[in-house]
Amino acid sequence: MTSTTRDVFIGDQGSRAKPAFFSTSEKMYKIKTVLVGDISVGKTSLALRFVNDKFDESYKPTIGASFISKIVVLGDGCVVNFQIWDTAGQERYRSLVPMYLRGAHIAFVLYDVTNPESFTNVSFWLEALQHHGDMVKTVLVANKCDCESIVSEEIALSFAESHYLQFVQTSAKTGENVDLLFHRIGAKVVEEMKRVSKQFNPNDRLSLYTERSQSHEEEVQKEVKKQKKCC
Amino acid sequence: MSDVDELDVNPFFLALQSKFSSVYEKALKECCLFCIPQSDCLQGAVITDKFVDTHILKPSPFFKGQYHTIRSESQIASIDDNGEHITTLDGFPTKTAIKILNEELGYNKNYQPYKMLIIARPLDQNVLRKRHVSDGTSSGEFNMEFTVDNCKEFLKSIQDIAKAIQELDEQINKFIKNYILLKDYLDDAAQRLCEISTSVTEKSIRSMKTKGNLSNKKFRDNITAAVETCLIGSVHQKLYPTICSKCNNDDVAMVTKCRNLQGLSTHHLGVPKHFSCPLTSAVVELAHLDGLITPIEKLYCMKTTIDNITEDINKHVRETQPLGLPEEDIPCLTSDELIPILVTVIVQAKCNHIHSDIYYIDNFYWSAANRDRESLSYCLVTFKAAVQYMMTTDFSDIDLKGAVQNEISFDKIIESRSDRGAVKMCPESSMKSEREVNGAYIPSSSRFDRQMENISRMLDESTKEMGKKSNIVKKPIVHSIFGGPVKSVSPLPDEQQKKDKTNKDEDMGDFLSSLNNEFLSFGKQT
Repeated sequence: MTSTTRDVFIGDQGSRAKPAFFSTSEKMYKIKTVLVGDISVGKTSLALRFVNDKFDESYKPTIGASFISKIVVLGDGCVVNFQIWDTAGQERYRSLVPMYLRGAHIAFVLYDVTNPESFTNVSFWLEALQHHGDMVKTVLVANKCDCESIVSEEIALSFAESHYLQFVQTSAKTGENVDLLFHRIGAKVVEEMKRVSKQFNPNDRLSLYTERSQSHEEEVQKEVKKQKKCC
Repeated sequence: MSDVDELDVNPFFLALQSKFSSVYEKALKECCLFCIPQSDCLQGAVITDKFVDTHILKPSPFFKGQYHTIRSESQIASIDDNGEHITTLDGFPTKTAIKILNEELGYNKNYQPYKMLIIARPLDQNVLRKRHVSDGTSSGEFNMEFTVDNCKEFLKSIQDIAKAIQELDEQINKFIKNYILLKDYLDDAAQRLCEISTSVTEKSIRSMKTKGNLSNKKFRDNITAAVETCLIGSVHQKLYPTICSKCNNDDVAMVTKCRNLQGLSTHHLGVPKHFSCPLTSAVVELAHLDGLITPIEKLYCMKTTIDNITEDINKHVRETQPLGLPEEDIPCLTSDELIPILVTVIVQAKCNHIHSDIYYIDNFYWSAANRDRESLSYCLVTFKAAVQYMMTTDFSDIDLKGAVQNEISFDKIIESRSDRGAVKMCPESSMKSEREVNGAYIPSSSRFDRQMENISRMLDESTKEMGKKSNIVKKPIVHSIFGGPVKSVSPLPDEQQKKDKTNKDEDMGDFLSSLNNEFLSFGKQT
């Protein structure tokens, strides 16, 4: 018998600087979720499985399958709006993917268990995330687990452990662990958002503004003097 | 509240007896277990068939104390031994123990017993849909079209905030008169304008006497968006040329790149054949970008472009796929296709200031359009990705010589413009076609109109830029945005039309030469 919950959650990553999408007034948590990984690992399928699987009335595919939002209610009653950003997987567009990572709360790094190369390239995606994504949670997702796996689960697990990642096996085809993945990670992110929102100090911005203003004033003075001289 | 009272008023139970009576009758006959979430947690909810099916349970044939929903045998719940909780097990998003508040025993027509459990909350909140609160055109709301004039009208219509708006007017005049814009210090300008926008918005909201509106988030969002749009729209003439000057090199490089890539098709960029189709509406929409005023208008233009691409391609895919193909097997557009497709659209639309526009949006758009923030943000990033891909990729290995360049000639555009003009009957649309009122650009209702206006605008700009490029920033632009003495530098529409006409006559040589430079033609895929 196979276990229904194959996900192994290891460690936590650092928190975000500020709650970009947090909206207390609506009591709805907007969570930007990016899907990264090689082409054909099942990024789009995973997103579509999550939004289409059961509750078709609550999702809104706006831009093909590239941007999808779905509202779900988590176990504790928190309402979460997952904003799922699909990214390009082809090698030629790899340099563009970091643009999509900014401000994300969750990154699912996918590989295909039947394609070892996609697992090898996980390192590249993680590096991109490290440089450009200020994530709360990064999850290594072994997709297509309904197929015979060529990538060893032990190796993947140990890789995840060494990179302080959370690891989960999913099948976009059968839906295995897909809902669970979004719900569990979503709950963790909401928890993190609640914590960070208490710490965020809006007055931080003021001092930056003052500094910048002064430098501009100085520059304007110079410019005015220059113009006077010219006249 | 007693149990009887609860069932008398419970929206789920009432719906079960009326709207879903056939399911109810059948469930009674089979002595199902009814899990009825208490009324308090169903306020404003829509009871759907999925909700009903999730809350009617049958005993499991395998395990005592376990039940499955009539919606799916894989949705399993169990009642604990002491009958205090019902726990959702498999088939639900989470495993949760829900308190049983009370239990009712009933008998069906055959005198067989069935149970009704009043539970603290639904077994699965995801099937609970909130009734849509009216999108609201009432209480001062309007479906925000982010044009400067619309926003001015909206703000003027609220008496309570007149003082705050007067202050906005003063701040704008002060900025236009006194602020020296430096292209290397545009972030400071952005900061100042953002401060003005925030402060005026806050004052407006504070000065609202009709507090009822304030509890409405959409109303507050509209005030924020309107203030921001009016502010940026009013300083646009001073601000935008400086931005263009800052991004000039990139803009020129982009225009050159687009010119060199004429004839580029999705096929050249490896997009699967089933996603290749004419994208005229997207090209026409994007060609309109240069003529828009505020960042939010430009952002919506980008979104509409992507929406048009998606719509046309989805339609094409559905038309070309074999009949009866399951929904899940129909190919859907992903980022791997969207980026190259967008590249071909950008090439054909020939926007003159795409880098400036991206900078403009990045730095001078703050709170407007809260409701679409995420999808707009996605569109902006996709545009940036496409632009960066174009700028950093060497396309020299693509043979564009053989590619057919299906351009709409300017004659054809003029011809279709006159045809369109003959068709235009609605006085509203003719009013909207007046491009500038008090210096504010008003997009017209249809994409075609906007395309025509864009051409006119480009004509104006190209003639203006020839002689007056250096004077734009220095010239004081002082005008009130809300009534009062208006000293707009923009000519009145009639005068503008006359001037346009004479300009066109005089500058026909320049105009034709700009045609040769392909700045004024529109690409078309056929």
